[in-house]
Amino acid sequence: MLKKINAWVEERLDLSTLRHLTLEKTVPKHRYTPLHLFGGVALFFFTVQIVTGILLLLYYKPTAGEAFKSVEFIVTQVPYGWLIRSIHSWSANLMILAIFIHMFAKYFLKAYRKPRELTWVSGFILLVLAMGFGFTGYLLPWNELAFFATGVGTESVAATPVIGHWLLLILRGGENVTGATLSRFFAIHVTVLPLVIIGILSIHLLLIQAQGMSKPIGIKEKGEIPFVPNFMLRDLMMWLGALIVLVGLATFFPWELGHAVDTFASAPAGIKPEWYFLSMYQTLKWMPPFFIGISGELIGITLISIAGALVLLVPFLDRKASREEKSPWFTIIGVLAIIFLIAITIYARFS
Amino acid sequence: MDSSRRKFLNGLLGIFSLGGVAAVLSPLVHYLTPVKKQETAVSSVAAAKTNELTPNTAKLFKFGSKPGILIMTPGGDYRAFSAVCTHLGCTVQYSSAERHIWCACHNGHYDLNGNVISGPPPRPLEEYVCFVKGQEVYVKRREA
Amino acid sequence: MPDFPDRRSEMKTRTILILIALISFGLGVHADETSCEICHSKLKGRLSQPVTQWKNSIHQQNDINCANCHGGDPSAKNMKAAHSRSKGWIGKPGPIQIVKLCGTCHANESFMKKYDPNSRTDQLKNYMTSNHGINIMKKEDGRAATCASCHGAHDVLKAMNPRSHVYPENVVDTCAKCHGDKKLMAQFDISGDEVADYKSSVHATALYKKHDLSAPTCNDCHGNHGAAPPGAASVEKVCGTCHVMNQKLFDESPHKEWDEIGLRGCVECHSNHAIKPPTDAMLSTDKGVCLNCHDSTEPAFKTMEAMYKTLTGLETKLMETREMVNNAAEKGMLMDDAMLKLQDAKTAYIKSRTATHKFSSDYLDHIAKAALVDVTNIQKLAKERLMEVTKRRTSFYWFGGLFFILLILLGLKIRSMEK
Repeated sequence: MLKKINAWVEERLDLSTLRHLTLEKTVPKHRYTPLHLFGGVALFFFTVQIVTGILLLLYYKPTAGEAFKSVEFIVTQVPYGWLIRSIHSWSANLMILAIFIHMFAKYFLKAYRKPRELTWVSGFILLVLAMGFGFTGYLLPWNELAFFATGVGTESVAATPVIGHWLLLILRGGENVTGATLSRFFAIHVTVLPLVIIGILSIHLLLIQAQGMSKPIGIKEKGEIPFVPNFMLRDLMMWLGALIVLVGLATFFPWELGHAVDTFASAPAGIKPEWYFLSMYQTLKWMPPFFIGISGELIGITLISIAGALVLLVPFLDRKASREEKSPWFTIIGVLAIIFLIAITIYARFS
Repeated sequence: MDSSRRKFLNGLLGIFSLGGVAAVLSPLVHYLTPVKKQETAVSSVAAAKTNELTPNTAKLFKFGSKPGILIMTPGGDYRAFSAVCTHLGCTVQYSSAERHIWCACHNGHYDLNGNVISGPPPRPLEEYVCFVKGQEVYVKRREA
Repeated sequence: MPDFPDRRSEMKTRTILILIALISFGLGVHADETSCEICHSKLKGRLSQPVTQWKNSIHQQNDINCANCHGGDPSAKNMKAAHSRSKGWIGKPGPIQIVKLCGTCHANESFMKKYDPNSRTDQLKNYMTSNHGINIMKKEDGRAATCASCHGAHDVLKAMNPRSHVYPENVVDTCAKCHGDKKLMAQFDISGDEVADYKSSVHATALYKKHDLSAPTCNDCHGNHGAAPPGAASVEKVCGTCHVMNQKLFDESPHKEWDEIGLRGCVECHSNHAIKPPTDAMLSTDKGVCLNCHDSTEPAFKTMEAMYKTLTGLETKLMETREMVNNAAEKGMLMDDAMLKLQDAKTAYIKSRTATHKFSSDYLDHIAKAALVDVTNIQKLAKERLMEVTKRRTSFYWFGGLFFILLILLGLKIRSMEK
């Protein structure tokens, strides 16, 4: 029976890639192999986001008048609504954390080097998109904290030269954060970003399948293990672990709902963005108001953009690695970057 | 490893996997089942049914996490206020006999515009906007 | 309009006109300025201050100027003519003169109506009955307050103008100019502590911290123009103007005849100027205020004991409930409905505290019952929510356990596969 179906499909489609994936694909085995699992974890959280996101859409109402009430309804009236909503929020944060770990793991293994430059570039774009998800999703419950944090967050795009104000208007749908902003963020969060991210993610995964896993420079291999089922079962174990942690966090620390937006209220003290924006937030905060006639905000945004561009272009900058030589400088820069990011994030969180 | 042990392991895995799938699916099924009590559409609150109040009566309703008071004036129009007394935060009530709002804690009196007539309250009550839609009287916060 | 023959003569005329304008501006010749203003504003210190203070005053706004009070000739060009006694110049009026001067207008109903139809004209009449008025007008004792002592001589403003000396937030300091001066007050057998006492009171907190203008200041209890300490019999009526409920209950209580034995109503327990926020401790068996008159053998002691028990019991329960609600909220449950009910309980609790003024433990228990019912309901709700939290956590233990076993089985599977 199975064979018949197989043959029926084979007649119409070329399944050689799939066969290659299931039968022949292998993963190099060495002491860093477990580091390869974090991409899978990020993918798992992304899947959770899709499922819980669709579920939330069934009850969520994206208007200024109803958004908060509908989320309140989800967490109080809908059976397990509190769980779904809490998981969606926690999973979003864990996903970004997993992406960071995944990215740094690949960075230190120099997995970005030729011929996998495009995998790195697409991965970086995925990180930016994930942060975009976080930024737009944060506003959707329409609570006080998100309302003011979004005001601050969108304000920084206004520093862009020439088109800054226009960009701000486009993003906010007006001069201020209003119901129009909510509509826009909702549209971006549930249609634009998902479409884009699925496209880029497909490229990212396709490249991985096409090129296989990279081997670290100068590492002794202990052979190869088949992708299916050996590596996949390891992936599965990670996912189960991630699921336990996720549901545990969602149960014991249900994501706060906060208070409904009251546009007439003054901003509560200590408005801070989500943790993954803290390093950027703090950089902008440290900028002087003006520096040789240029606004500090613009300098800050330029610096952040340059840093982003450098990360994006790492595969092309690290010439040594692309010649399969060790590049200790990049390792040192990476370590410094991690220390800097963690330090600035902790500082911003507790200052 | 002998094949019987392997079979046993596979069997266990199968059973627990089924359990796992059930554990994930059951909340989802519950989540999808529609709830009887539907949420009210709100920046406004449905404070009362139109046939609920007669002239010169009032009722308290929930406005966010604070009480509000909806009054049908002797003249037959609706007025709504925050029911939190501006003195010490007691919940005010409507006095049909005196035809105005009254706080029992320290005998504060407010007129039908929420202004203080007598007693200790320092400020008027916050007034809300009322409107009738279908069979319900809705109340919402005043826009600036 | 003159007809200018050519540009040159036009220029000349213009120059002259500008010169005249500049000179007259420099001299300060201004259509509605009196010579009093012109000269005094150029003088130094004490002699120019009245002009500065008078500007922006309610009198200046209504064209009541220097001569209306001081007399003299405001149109005269030299000092002697302006300050001519024959033109009625009186210089600086004395205390009695001040009162009479103000009274000429402010006690004249038809005159005051021209400015403000609601204006009162009884100030002078009231003042004559006040201790201030009696001292000044009858005993001719210039140490007491005249109109100008409180309202200012030149910078007179409407009472509700925040810069006015008699604006609620300023009036205490205005009275304190004399009543805060212990030496001066000793001459009148007044302690002089009243202002300091007031500033430590719950009323002062309401006024200065919350900027609650309805909080009483000196004049709200003592009257303003007819200022005098309220007599023993009227104390509770004075307090009762705001604390209506308390007065009503007090009048129904066994204490209603206090004034007949010379006790001063509310003041006996709450003091007069230094009124502190009331606490349950006022009814406690060791330092309750009732002990001032009653001892432990009297039935009143039993009432006090019972009321104390009810109130503190209610307060403890309320705090306990609030904690339960907060606890559930901290554990992630939405407690808006419970908070709403807590509001009702708080209302009932405040009502209970007011109810003590009937000095009947039965009445208090009756009122407190409502609060107890509320509290019990909220506790039930909070318990339900906390149960729900436990339920959720227990479910997670099962869920986590199941998946943990699955995880281990998978590990075993991998090991057996790769052996």
